[in-house]
Amino acid sequence: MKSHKVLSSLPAFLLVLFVAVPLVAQDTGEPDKASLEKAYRSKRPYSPYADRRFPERVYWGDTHLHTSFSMDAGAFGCRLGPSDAYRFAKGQEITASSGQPVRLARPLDFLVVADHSDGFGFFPLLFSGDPKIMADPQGRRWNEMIQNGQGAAAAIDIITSFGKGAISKAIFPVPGTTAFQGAWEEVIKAAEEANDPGRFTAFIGFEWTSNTGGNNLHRNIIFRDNATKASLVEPYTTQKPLGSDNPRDLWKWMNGYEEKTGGHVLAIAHNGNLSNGRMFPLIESFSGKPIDREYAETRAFRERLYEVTQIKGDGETHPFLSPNDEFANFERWDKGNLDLTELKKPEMMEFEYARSALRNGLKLEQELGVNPYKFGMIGSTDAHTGLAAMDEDNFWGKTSSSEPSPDRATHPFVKTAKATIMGWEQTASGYAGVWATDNTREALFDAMQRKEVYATTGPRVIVRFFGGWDFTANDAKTRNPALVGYGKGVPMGGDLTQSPTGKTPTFLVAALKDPIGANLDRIQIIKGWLDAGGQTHEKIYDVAWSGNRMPDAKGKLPPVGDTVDVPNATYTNTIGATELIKVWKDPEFDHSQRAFYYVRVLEIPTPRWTAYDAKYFGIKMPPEVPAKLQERAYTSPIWYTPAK
Amino acid sequence: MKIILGKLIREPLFHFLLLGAVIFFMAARVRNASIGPGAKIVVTQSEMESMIMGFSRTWMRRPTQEEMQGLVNDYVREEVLYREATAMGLDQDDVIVRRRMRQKFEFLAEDLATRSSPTDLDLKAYLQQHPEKYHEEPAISFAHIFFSRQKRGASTEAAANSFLAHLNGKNDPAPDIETAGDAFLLPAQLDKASVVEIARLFGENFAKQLTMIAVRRWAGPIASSYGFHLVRVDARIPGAAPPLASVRDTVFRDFLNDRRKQELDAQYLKLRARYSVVVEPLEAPTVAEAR
Repeated sequence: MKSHKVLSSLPAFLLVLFVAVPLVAQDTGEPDKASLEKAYRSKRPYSPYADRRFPERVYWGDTHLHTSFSMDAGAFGCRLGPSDAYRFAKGQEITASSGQPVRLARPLDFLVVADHSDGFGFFPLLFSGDPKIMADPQGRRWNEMIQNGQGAAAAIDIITSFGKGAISKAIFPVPGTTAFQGAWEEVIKAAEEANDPGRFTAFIGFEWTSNTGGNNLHRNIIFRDNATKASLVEPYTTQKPLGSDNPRDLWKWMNGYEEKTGGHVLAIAHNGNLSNGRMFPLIESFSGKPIDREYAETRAFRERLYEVTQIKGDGETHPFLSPNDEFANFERWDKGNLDLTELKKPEMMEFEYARSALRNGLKLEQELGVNPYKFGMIGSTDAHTGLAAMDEDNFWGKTSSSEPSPDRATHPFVKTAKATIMGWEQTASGYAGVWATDNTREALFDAMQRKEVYATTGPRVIVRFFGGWDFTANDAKTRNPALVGYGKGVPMGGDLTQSPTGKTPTFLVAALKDPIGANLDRIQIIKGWLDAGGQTHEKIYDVAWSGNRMPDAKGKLPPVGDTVDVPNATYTNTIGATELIKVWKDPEFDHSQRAFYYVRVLEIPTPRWTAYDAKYFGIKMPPEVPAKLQERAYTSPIWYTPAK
Repeated sequence: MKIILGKLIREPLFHFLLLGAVIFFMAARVRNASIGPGAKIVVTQSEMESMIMGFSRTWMRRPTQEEMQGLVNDYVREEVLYREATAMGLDQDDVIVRRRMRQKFEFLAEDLATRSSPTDLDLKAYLQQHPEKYHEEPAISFAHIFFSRQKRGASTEAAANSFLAHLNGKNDPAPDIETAGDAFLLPAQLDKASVVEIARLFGENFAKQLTMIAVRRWAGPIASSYGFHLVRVDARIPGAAPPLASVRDTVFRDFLNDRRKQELDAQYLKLRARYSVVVEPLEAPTVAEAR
């Protein structure tokens, strides 16, 4: 009773204290300016780097790689496990599952092995003919198919059975079983061993593969933490009753992990293009109701990044959604859902692609007060080979069965009664660029959470993007654009609010070509906004480009040219720019309208992986197979939100 | 009948089966306490606590009364079937169980290995014994002033040269590298960057040149993928064995790892000595005896 009284009177006591005493002077008396000036430097220190806390370099990696621990990867012949995947990413030469030696041109700085949690470690068991599996008719049938050289047919059966939730309970590793726990232990151990702070970061992670009806709602989960915390949980799955295919339940699980351990996890969704209208919904497919504030808040908090480009197609936008974007028709996978059991309808696309989701996010923010689709963008591989190898001239395919071979391009990749995706349609993409202060789990994770990241379709193009109110043309000439960028603005992934009266957003944008890659064609800024009538719009601005090209009367910039020699799979850097930098001011700014701005950088045309294949294997590709492409980078947006 | 019996007694298969039955009977007796009529299953408090923990791990909350009842029922069911299954020897040929048992055993041994923390003396010795593991790559600290080929075209190299002459003409060649030269996205100064790292950022040729030019004076111009650079190498740090302080964490981890492995091996050898192993001949080539 007594203590209750004391507690209840505490706030009142504090209030008195705050009112009575000036906030700054606690025990020290009033400060004066002269003594304060001594405490703060009037000039920057001699060493220009002493005070610097902003990221000075970009780290390259893959947040989405599968190994033999993923059921489907194993089924398709992957024999490389998590440790092999990390060794390969570090730049070591290894032997691929197809028996060929393989090595990256340049090591990566970080890697997340993200194996499917459903059926975690299933395939190594199936392959070894584990008695439990052999005791089950379905397991025995699959094992025998593999032993009899019908691995591919078994693989397809396993994946479709998984899609339908038709894998026998007796053989499916679920949380709580020794098989599942053993696999998770091994995944954690591999990451702990490969992690080398300052040099190479190996994240602990997994993929939550919600795939009901063949509609892709997959998310990769990445841990900021080490084994001590990560091993307190088991990966969340989608199969009931232990798991769920609803992202809301995944977010609950993430909350639970953080509350329980004090750790941190993030989720990155991918392949909206294979979700048949469900990835970025206005109406939740699970409830049939419009998304509410809770959904919006949780999604914005939990899913700050989206994987916009990867092997199963590029997801920036689609010609149907962006008819005025001449570069929109790029590496599209738009025939149906993931397993091609349902064909695509055009009206689904608005809820599948990043750009339209960013636009709808503005609309939802207006309605709900929160923007659920306020995400930054990264690229990653989604390779199921243990090999994060996405260079056009060193592309190791989606699955082990599509590792380099003379017929991998002309062999169907997915085939159902409704549609076929051919091997050549695989996209050699992409990687994540992260502007972090250090190459550690903590620094990279934190950079991802503040969205200071960007996507590329493979090349390591360096891109800086800052937004502010006061950038001037001269800022593009300073020796270190980052210094002025952070000084006067916010980096990619940031926010502009409170527009000073009469001011217009200005952007400092710069790109440097991959040191061993192709020159650059142009930098574009893509703006999306919400008008007073509640309609969203998009517009593409060419901001900087190579050479002396002049836009035509309609404002269209002529193409950069083309040096690709397809038969020899070569190109020359005789066109394009090695670097581009510019300060750009929005010519159509309306301070009352919500908007986002992101950067797209295009390389000059280069040979596609199919051209390198044709040359190496001495084969002729069918005429419909593209032989060249313009690789690109997409940055996280900077959002403008009007003051209330 | 007698003949058949007599024949049977001489039959090796019969001996084998008889022996098997005896062993089974003995084993069953040993386990009798835990299976069969009258055997007792006690669901202890600590077991229930671990059920609650397992449940909360998945669901992130404590089970309700009803769920708890379900967990207990399931536990009892599992216990009954587990005991019966073990008694029947069903765990014998199961790959997962075998692997798990091995893992558990190894965890035990690993625990022993990591019980005591290594001293600095241990770590120093380990560092000296494994110099190749910690050998730091040669590194270079340098500053550079960039001249953009994109911006200056054919006169880029000349511009760099003339700026170099200007630098060397001064008594105190300390230009502000924050402002000199053209805009560039890579850092103007790198501290102890490995040659491999420099090559990844600027290209092979640039990195190679940096290993050769004179130190602590402006030199160049050196070509990169982007243009020309005047470079001042401030220090070249040869590849060397680092002091313990700078690699302590890694050495600590490796030391424990090694000790763990040694402990496991030693323990295995000890146990292995208690068995005589016969590897039956495979079709040629023969397999050497496993060690």
